[in-house]
Amino acid sequence: MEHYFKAISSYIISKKEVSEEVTITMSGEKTQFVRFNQSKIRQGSDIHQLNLSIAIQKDEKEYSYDFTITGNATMDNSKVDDIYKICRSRMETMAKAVFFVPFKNNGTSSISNTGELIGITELTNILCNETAHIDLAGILTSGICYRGNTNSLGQSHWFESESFSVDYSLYSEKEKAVKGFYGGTTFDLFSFKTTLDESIKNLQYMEKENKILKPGKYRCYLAPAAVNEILSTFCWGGTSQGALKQGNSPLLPYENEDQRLSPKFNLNEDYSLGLTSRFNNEGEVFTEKLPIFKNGLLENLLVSSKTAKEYGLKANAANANESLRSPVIESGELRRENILAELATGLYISNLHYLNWSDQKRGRITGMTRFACFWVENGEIVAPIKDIRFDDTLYNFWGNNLEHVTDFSEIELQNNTYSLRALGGSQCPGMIIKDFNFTL
Amino acid sequence: MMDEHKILLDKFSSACDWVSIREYKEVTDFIMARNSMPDQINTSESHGVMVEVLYSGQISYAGTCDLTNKGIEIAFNKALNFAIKTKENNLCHFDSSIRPANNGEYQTKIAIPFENMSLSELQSNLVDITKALKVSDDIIEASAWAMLTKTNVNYISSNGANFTQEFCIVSKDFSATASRDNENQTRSYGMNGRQLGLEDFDIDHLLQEARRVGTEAIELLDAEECPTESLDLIIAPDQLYLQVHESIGHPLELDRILGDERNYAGWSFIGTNDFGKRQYGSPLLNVTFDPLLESEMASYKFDDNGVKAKKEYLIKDGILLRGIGGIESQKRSGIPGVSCARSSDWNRPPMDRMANINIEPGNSSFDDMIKDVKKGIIMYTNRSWSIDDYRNKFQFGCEYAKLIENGKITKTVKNPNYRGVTDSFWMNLDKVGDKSTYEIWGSPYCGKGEPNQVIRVGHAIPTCLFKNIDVFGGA
Repeated sequence: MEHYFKAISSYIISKKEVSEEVTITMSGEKTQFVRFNQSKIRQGSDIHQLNLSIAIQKDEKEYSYDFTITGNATMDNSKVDDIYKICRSRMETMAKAVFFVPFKNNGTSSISNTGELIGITELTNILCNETAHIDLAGILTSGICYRGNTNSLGQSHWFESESFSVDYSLYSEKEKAVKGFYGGTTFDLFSFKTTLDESIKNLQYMEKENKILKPGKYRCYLAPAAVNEILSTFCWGGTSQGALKQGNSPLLPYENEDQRLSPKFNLNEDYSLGLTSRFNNEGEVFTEKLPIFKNGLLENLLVSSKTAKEYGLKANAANANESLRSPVIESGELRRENILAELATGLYISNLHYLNWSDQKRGRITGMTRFACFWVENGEIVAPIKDIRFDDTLYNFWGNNLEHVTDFSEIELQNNTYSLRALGGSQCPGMIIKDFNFTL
Repeated sequence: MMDEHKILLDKFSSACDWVSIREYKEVTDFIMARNSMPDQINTSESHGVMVEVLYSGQISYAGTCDLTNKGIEIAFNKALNFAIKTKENNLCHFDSSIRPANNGEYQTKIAIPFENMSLSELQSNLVDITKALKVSDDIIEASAWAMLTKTNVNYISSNGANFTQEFCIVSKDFSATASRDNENQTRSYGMNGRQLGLEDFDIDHLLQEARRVGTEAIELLDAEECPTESLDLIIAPDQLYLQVHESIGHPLELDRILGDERNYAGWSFIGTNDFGKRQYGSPLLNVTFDPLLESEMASYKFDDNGVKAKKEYLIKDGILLRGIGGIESQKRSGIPGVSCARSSDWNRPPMDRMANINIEPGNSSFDDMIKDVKKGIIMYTNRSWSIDDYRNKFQFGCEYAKLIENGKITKTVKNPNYRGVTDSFWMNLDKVGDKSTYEIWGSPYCGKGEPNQVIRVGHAIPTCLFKNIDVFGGA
């Protein structure tokens, strides 16, 4: 596919006028999705898609056109000709860009992460057979993703990654549920069975009667997956320099009122995870590791070229919405075997669900507990809980109320598939938090 | 291209029990302005084909951007191969009766075509809106955007279905953020999408609205915090539509009730035995599925299984009658449903989606509602939403609210929120606004499914009054 991307890019660049510069971005995939319910196939779909974006700059104007290509050079070149006509016609009447950032050559790179994927029908039948005795719902995803970027100034980047994942949950007859995930570049039946057995064991813990909690403040252990949910919500505006300048950031209390996070909180944008490309849509390449919070103090925000131009700042190769694409919260000192003892009495929260800013400008987040969450007394799991809603600010749960961070962390692969399979992921430890606020 | 697809269908149909080709093309222009200046203009176009194959009771799909005959044939073979090799593990056994052979056309009724205004002119109008939003120097950010979307769907099947649909959709929003002495407040028009032409972009009206929005953002800077107590709550349509979406629409989706969605968005507190008898809300609650309401965002003539669209009552006089489930879910569950199997694009299979879910207007005027409230609050425009995976425990935040004291609207309060549980919330519905309070809202961003799909939904909603709701203020 890299070869075809280079070919169509060459054609696009050959058709530009002298006064124009172009940046070409490609995203594509060949992915097989299989949706499961009751450990059977609900829907299987095979998707082959290639999307191209042409951004044209001329006379300090910029216009971009994203479109689907077929992979057939004759058809695609003809489409490119049509799109040039549309863009040029529209650019004639367009106003100059107020914060114009001219394209430049941001270098070259090429990364190919290959896997050893087995055929989708074989993998599907293995999954159905191995889970025939339980009730599994979820999705199997397998295939290759492409990302490319090049421009008329010589910049050229390519990233492709082959992987599979099984994102699932298991259900008991009493509608109790646990969440599981198995993924990587090579399917290993023994490893999958081990992961599945662990989920089945956890489901057995859920069989006791639910403990119903009253709203109030509880001591909690948030497992890495739950921390990742909070981190994902925080990334929605939390690391954006533009959002802070425009009065729409959860860091406004940090900026204006000296509210601080715990010295135990350390957050980095860290591409050494290797899960996604370091280049953004403009082809700018992010540094391998950038501290965002260090010992609870803000070190850096993400600054796109456009924000930098608008506010006179230095850009750091952020994407347009200035969100983290490879965030890592650093691990701490709490050992896995000491979690329950340190929690003593409180909530063990494996997963959270449907988080949203309840007051973004004050850094307050709400959401629900979900899947395997337990009530713990004196360091022992007593019972699963009926799901409960939290509503609290990050200045509490990542501030004074953050007591411990685990010495281990887990990688959560990005499993968003809206329109296209997303790349990237995050790495989070578990956390013990006191007085976490539950409301409903 | 339809003729070529017909030839391909003839070729494919001998190898399987049934096959369809759905060609989908969508072009969206996105235009934005910020702080009295033009911002971005860009266009996105998605074009591809989804081949759907029925073989030995199993339906499988293959979507391709390769629009050549060879590309579509490869897609067909992939879908067929999957169905053949995994048929032992199929959840649902279907036959071709679940794909009716309907024929026809649908086209959004528009008065002013998109082509009547250049994108630059439209952007110039958006710049004017941001100027109108800046009613004071305390407005630190003013933005406005519009999206013009044109979608064409061509669908043919081996048992004779043949229809085309063309949708024109205008979506827009604008907002102002005010800041003073560490207080920051944002007020917006409220994101809305309609199936209309540029008649939906009435610049004089929008400028007037922009001045109101800017003024209300400033007003919030000095407003008191929303009280924390149980109050009578009047919800305006620009918030209530999301309440309906989250706590009526999603829990009534039959594929959720059947468990397809359990691993992602969740299950439902509604069970298969609830239909026909469960009291979902007070007797004032009448909820319809209406894909035929002109100009509402998710109107259409056929769903993506080829089923003809029809208005149906989901809830009548508070009683749950019908689920939001397409023909497949109806067959699986035995529960009456609606024509709602939809896909977000060519690259996703159809599943149960909301389309237009509306509350039918009642008999109360806005003044009647206010008059009867001793101590209450009226909330406008969603800013936060969250609900559990069974669609029970919810929390919503709004941008702007007014207190009601002894039958009169008194002062503005900031950071208004409310929370509750779906069951008791709809039972507390005390008054339903009449046609004068009724507004048509629509969102382009309803997420669901694995693989994920984001789709357009419409909600036509009157203002409603609820008794004894827990409301609360900011951090």
